[in-house]
Amino acid sequence: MTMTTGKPVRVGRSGLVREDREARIFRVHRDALRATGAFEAERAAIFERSWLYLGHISEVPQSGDYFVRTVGGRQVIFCRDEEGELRAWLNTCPHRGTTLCRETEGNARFFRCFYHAWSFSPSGNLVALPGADAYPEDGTFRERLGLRPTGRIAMRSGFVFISHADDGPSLDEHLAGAGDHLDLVAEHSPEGMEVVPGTHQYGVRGNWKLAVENAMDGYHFTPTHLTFVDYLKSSGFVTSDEGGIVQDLGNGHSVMVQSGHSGRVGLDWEPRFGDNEKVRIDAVRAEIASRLGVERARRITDHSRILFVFPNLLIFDIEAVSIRSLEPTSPDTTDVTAWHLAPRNEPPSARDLRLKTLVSFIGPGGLATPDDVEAYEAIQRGVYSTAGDQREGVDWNDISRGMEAEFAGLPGRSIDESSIRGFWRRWDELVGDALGDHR
Amino acid sequence: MSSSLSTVTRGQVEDFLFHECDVLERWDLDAWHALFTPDGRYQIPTLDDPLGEPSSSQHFVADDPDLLAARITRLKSRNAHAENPRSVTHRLISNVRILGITDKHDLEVRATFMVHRVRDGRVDTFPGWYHHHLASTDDGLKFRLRRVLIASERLRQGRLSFVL
Repeated sequence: MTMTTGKPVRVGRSGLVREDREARIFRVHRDALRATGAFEAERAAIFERSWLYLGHISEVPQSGDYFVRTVGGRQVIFCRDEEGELRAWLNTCPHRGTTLCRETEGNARFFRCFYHAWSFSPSGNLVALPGADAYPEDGTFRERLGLRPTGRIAMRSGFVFISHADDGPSLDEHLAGAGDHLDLVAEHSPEGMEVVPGTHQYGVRGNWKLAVENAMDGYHFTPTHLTFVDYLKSSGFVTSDEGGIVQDLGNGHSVMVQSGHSGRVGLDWEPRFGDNEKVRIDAVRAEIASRLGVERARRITDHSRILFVFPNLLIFDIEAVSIRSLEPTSPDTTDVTAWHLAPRNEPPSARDLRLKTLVSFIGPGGLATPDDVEAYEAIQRGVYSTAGDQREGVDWNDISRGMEAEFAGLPGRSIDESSIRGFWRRWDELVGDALGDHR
Repeated sequence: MSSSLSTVTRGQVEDFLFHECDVLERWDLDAWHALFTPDGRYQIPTLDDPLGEPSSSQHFVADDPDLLAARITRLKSRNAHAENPRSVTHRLISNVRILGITDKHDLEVRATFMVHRVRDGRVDTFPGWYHHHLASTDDGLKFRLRRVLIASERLRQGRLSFVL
């Protein structure tokens, strides 16, 4: 938990976050969720600067494998080049700007622009073009007109990130305490983890920050997901909001950890998983303990975690593992992409159980996620009801739950709002200057 | 059963699918549930892996009989917030074809659909295809497999909380 000192009433740099520490009031102005100025400011101050999640290394196993993804408002080709290096190219022909790669995924020896038939190697070199004799003979035009990279690309435990800025903190510096949690996810299996086929790609009519708030918010679980909790009870196990903790991991990252929550496929046995799976899980647990020691093994096998890596990555390491990235498309809309991550080479029966267990909860067709989406969308519509209302406190959201405990230095409860406050403090710190005189 | 299957006409399949549209447009979820065999399944694969199987590919919906029953119980509750109030749905079905008999002696049926979903001041369109396996029972045709393929690059509206 981060304890910040300072004046009791703190008006954040953006003017959109206000904190009265004595009165235990934390508020966020609703313009942060709907104003074009706030959206443009966060695009410039966060998405153009920060490390952003791009993809998982298992998605591009072979040279020439590629995916096209929009990350931080820019279309990027995520690929593995002919030397095996991971690359992230901006998806535009350096010649005249055409979208270079018009497929969304595949394997290519060359990226060839259809317009004038310029061909580029996956390592970015302009290797062929019709009529090269009309350019200077020294060939310098080829160096000038190679593919344009994103600012930087780096990886932690198989999770690949890019930054559109070519300067700034290293990935590990940026990740701070979140790096260890990414390692824990990667350590589920000695053979590594892989993204499973089948991607959830969907739009939400809500600001991206509402998806972050929702993931770090244990308070909503029971009222919002009452029908899912009823389903869990009817299938023979009980879930509880109690005992969950949240931790501030620095730089806006946070994690919610639940122990003894509701079974983890391949890691923590439940009767619903069946007897064969019990034998297999015992062996998996013994392997993890011998590889990493008992204490670290327990964090992997017995703890569920929801990890937020500022600003665009959520990892749900719960009954199974889901990677979710958030791509803001307007103040009112967000594109969500979600992948299922699983241990390599697990038996087909375990893979089947894993997929079945998670899909019941998560995703646009699950029994729970649609109610979360309903919440973001209902908020996005709701905050227009007070737009421009100048009366004191009316056009503000309240995020004050559990401030007393936070300032007493107690462990953050998942059913309080301390993680959400941590997120907004970081957002405010970064966006404040870019927002300038917006308010 | 297979002998009677060979006598099922496209008209009978169309009547079954049109009846299902009517049941779903009225949100008569118990009547909809009764259109499945006891081992019937409901599946929606992702947009980028439409031929994937639920055992090896992440799906949007991969209901076995237990999950299907849970989905229906949930949707009948006032606490299914994503469908309270319920969406109005409007369904068009066309290009119905009987492709043949599956190795489990069910009818393999394909159709195209366009579903309009009306809620929150908007009309969202969901175009796609049905790839169903229908069993012929004493109680008429039933879904052994009700599989829905969505024709879209990205779901523009991320709440498949209604039945597509």
